Amino acid sequence: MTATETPPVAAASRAASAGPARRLPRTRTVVVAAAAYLIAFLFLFPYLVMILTALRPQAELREPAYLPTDFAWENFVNFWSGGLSGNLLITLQVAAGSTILVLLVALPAAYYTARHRFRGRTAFLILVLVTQMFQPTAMLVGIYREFSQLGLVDSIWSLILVNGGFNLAFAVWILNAYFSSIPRELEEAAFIDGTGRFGALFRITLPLAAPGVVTALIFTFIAAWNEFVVALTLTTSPEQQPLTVRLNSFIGQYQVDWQNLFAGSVIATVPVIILFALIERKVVSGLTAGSIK
Amino acid sequence: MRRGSRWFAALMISPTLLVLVLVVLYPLLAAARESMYVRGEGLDADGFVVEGERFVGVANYAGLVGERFVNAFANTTVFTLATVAVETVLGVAMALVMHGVLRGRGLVRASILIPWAVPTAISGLMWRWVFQADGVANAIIGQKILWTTEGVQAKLAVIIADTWKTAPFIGLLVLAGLQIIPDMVYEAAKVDGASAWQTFWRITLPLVKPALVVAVLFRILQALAMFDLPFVMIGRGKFSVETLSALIWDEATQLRYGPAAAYGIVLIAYVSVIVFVFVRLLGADLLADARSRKERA
Repeated sequence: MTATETPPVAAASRAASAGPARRLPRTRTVVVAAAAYLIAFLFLFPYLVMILTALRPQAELREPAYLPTDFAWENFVNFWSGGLSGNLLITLQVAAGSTILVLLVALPAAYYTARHRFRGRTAFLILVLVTQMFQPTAMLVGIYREFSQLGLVDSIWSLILVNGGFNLAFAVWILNAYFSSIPRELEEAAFIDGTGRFGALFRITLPLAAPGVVTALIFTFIAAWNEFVVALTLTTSPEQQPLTVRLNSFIGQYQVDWQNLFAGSVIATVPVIILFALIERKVVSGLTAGSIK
Repeated sequence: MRRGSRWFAALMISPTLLVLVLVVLYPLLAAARESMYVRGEGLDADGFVVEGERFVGVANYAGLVGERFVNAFANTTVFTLATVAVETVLGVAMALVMHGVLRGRGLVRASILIPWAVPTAISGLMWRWVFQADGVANAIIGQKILWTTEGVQAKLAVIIADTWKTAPFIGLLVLAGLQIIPDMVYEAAKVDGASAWQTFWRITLPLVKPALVVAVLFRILQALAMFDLPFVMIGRGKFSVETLSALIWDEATQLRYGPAAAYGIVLIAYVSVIVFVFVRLLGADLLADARSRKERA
């Protein structure tokens, strides 16, 4: 029982969406649809408020929930000129670095455990899963101690390592499931046809596992992009902080420039939403792989 | 196994093990050790100044009976119970509604998922704005509630924000579970004269249970480590929303590493116990995958 259920889930969802259409009475369909759109609106509403605030001139800040009279795009310019572009770059480097680390480390392990039986294989997979249980906050002191000994406080390398490490479990498991679902015979056939071991891997297996690889990578990227508490602990100088930490440092005793803060928040949010929209279905089937028969 | 292939196995597996040792195992051991030491200057029993590390045994764990730890422990437990319970009920309801939507389901799904993808530290900022004294929340309910000051209302604000963020996550996992229930099952129930209520409790719920159990377990793990939302929305050191993670962070930033490490070890123990009980009670078969493959091997 592996991620082979990914295709069946998709197939079943198509079947199911055609199913109730014929049986439900019409009014009920309309009511359900209305309820669903209402729920969707409720979940989007706070974001609309945030985006509108990001576009509001400072003078109009104290009038909540109405459209701004003119859109203050300069709030976004302020973000850039205020030096936050450097923090955006840090966030990008940390997210990209963690993703590359996970790719280099998780891919061989997941492939090998999917293709070979060896002693300690199950123990290895369970060990990886158990690390999912330990949250960074619980061992914050240990993490801080380790990276200050290594001289990596205020460095993107420590954030890359921590974010990569805490996302390894998910990547190894989902990739393992994908590789296991690809029939070994396909690879062997290519091998016999003379592609060589690595040719078979790169021309047959990896392309077939591409959806799983992309999912694991985007998932890691988003998690590293969004991470807060470790970055808060391991970075001290403002210009070395990722966006999540830097934006929060503007909340203080004094008046908060909400419109500029929200312009920054929108910039910190849009990339992850786009990436997430790309893998949303796969994340769900990845997380439920192994639980739904 | 051939000698060469054993080397190859080590080559493939060891990078993962190395990273896990660096990022999980070493910090864990370092925290466990630190929890039994005191650092920095201090006076010894004879009144002499001593520097460096001193072994103090379980003295750092003395804070466990202190008011602040008990409060943080209670907050963490209340937040976990409240958010996971509300999110489960809402998530299942949302999944049922989404399952009934025929047109535009993708759109509905995408929009309710946005909260989950957004950085929590950013949504915390947004909720802080919403829950300001003259903010959107008070404007909508027509009250003057000081949400971000100490008190029950601060807890409520955090629970609302957390629910908003993660109920969709449970909803989506349950929806995935709903979509693989064959229509035949429902048709059979209808023929037998089952009411909608009976169908839900006797058919739908038992069949989505595996998906639901995994979703809830993931959520419990996250909720027990909750940090970002209370910290950003309400502020640091606010007693009424201080979670265990926040307490650990605060102690560490005050350079009280010993107690911070001790609380961290307690948090890990707490999480482990909850996961163990949960898996035992609800039979989350998380390792079915590894086991079934082992049997085949």
